[in-house]
Amino acid sequence: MPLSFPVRTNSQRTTASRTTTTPSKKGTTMSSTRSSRGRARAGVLASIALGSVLLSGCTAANADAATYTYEPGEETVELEFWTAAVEDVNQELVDMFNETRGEELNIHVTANYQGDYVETEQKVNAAALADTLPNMFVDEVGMTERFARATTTLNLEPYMAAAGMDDADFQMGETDNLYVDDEMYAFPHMRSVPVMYVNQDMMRELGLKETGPETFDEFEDYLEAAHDYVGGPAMIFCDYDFWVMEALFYSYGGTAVLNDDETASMYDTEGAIKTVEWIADLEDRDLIKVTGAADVSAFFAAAGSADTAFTFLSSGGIQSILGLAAGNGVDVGVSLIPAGENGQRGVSVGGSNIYLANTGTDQEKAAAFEFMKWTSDTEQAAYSSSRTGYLPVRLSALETDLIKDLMETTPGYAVAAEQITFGKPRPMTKAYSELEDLMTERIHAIYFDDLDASEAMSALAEEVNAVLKR
Amino acid sequence: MTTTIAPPAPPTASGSPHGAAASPVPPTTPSTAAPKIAALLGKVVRIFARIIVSILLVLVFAGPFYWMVLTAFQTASEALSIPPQFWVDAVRWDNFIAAFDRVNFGHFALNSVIVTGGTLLGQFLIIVPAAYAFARFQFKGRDVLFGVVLATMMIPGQLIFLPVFAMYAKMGLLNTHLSLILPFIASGFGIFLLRQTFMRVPDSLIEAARLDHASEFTIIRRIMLPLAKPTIVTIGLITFIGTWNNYFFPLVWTTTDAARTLPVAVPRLEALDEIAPTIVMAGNMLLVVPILIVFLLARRHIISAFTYTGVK
Repeated sequence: MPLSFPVRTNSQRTTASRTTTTPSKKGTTMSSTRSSRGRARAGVLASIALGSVLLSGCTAANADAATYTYEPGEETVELEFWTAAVEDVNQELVDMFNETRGEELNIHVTANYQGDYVETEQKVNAAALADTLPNMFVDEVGMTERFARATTTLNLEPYMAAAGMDDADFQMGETDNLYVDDEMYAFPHMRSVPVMYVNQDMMRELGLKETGPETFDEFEDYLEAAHDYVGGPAMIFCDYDFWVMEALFYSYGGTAVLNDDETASMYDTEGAIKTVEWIADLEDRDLIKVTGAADVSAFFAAAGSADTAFTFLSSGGIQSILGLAAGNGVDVGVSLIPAGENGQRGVSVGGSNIYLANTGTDQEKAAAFEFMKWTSDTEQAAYSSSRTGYLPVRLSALETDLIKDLMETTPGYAVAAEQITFGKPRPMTKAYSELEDLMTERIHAIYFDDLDASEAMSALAEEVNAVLKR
Repeated sequence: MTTTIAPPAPPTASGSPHGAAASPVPPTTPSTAAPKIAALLGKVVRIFARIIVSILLVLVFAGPFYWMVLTAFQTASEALSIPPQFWVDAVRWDNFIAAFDRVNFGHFALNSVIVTGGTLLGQFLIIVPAAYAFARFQFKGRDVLFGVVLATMMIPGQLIFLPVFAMYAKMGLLNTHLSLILPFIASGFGIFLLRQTFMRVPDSLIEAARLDHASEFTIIRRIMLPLAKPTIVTIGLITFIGTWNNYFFPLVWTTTDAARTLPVAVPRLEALDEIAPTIVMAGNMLLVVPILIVFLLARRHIISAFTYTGVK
């Protein structure tokens, strides 16, 4: 299926902004203004003055460009790169860089794994305080604004301008999490979205579409049929990962978790309450079983089981879920999360970004940007995707033979690539990690303690608002 | 239900109701049989309840260990099968081999030995004189200082990790073994426990030693330490387990693998293309085995230490 990725409008805004705000551009504008003024004058003194101004203008522009451009020196530039998640693939990328581009540019990168996203965030913050930041690091997509506001990370726009690159090729679905105030503060590193894993054997047995339901109305009918087939709930819904819940709020309820400027909760809206009531109702009717973090193993085990009809889970798990199901002799496929009323769809785009840390000399920063540029380039984006199950982060990577072959052999990748076109940004407020825990706990209680969804969600909205106002 | 209490047997010539010269036991009557049956029933119920509680306790404490060992020897499909499989068809070492392939276990294990050994040694050097001073000397501010020592036990690690990290960065101690040893050698718990033991040593013993011109060091070495051996072994074991298993500090106070210990390495055994925890469980087994060995060796001393404390 051909995929079309609408190029983000604020990408164009960003590009425009970049060309008017980068120091090199300012320098060029200044020099040209002054040179036209100089041309209007005659005489030797004026010429000398003009020459001086031109020279100083050029020097400023060159100096600015030099700040953001890497020039290989005699000595090897040593860089430290902190990684989070997919340690082995990141190490492979670093090894490849050191053996190829790094050797050409006299740059050597050392990768150091720091733990999961939250642990890495804590260590980055600690390192920022202790002035021991690495040169670049990987962390979750929703952390861009926190790092940028704390001046832990650098604006990439001047480096991109100096390198003559733009962000158009990065517009793979929703990319708002790369920007702060319309300025690019991160390159995408790994991308994933929630998808629906479908037990195609069961669908065939039941005489249903093997790709599964397309709408939530159909989804309920399918769950009823699957319930009768297995004699109990044929789906485990694990609410420990709030990211999947965000997708259901978008797709079923047609609402986000927070308002646009992330200053207030949307939990007291009709869409949010409706979504939670719907999940509670499915559980009451024994169509699904809701579990929490304590039952994650059971949830994963069920994902590849013959008695499970559907699983909502990250597209990053394609290889593992399909492998697990194949081991059980079950044919599992990947489909879009069903559409809600009026065909609405929406999923939060997850995964990680790569950030340029605010540390080191200008040359080290420019060298770090060279590494980031290389890591995020088409071939490397395709390689990372093929090794992990995450989506490639460049549109051009979709055209590589590697990704084309991958999508042919594992059609689930193409579905994930289609799913990301319905992508929404994850909230970037600094309180969101805390809010995720709070929201997971409170919504979990609605299912398990049979609370009134409307009252519980209103109370939750107040709690969330209190945290946001703190 | 009404029960009849049997009257006590009449005293014999020897003064004992069960003496050799006692008259023959009267034939059992319904009035005496009932309490015996009730007592017997009560005993059976107590034994049965004890067995049930013991089995439940074993399940609660040993169950996770059994599950870990089981999973470490299972294949992925066995580990994730529904219903769960409580045995293995064949003992497989593949998960252990995979664990060694994925991370440099030898390097992390050596770091664990250095950090745990260094902490044990450091603690011994710090807490013995500190506990002796708090137990046997009168000096100004002693109780306040002891209160400060106790207060250190109440500070959560999460509170100090950031300032200590910044301090280490300034001192150039990040990613060194020393950074994982230093904060733990002045154990408030160890000083408290050992002080209590030292305080139980009779003053007369110490006075006698002093009369024989024994120095404080000799008193500690020749009198205090031998008497406090069970307590020291217990503190040592608690420190060993705590340091060997510590995940948080070796993770947050290191940014490279140079000084990281085994607990930080085990979660890294998870692979992206696998869901089954078989290899991680194999890693956990390798992590736990040294603790079990040390526990088995020190078990006698631990029981002795706690029994002694309990009697007092």
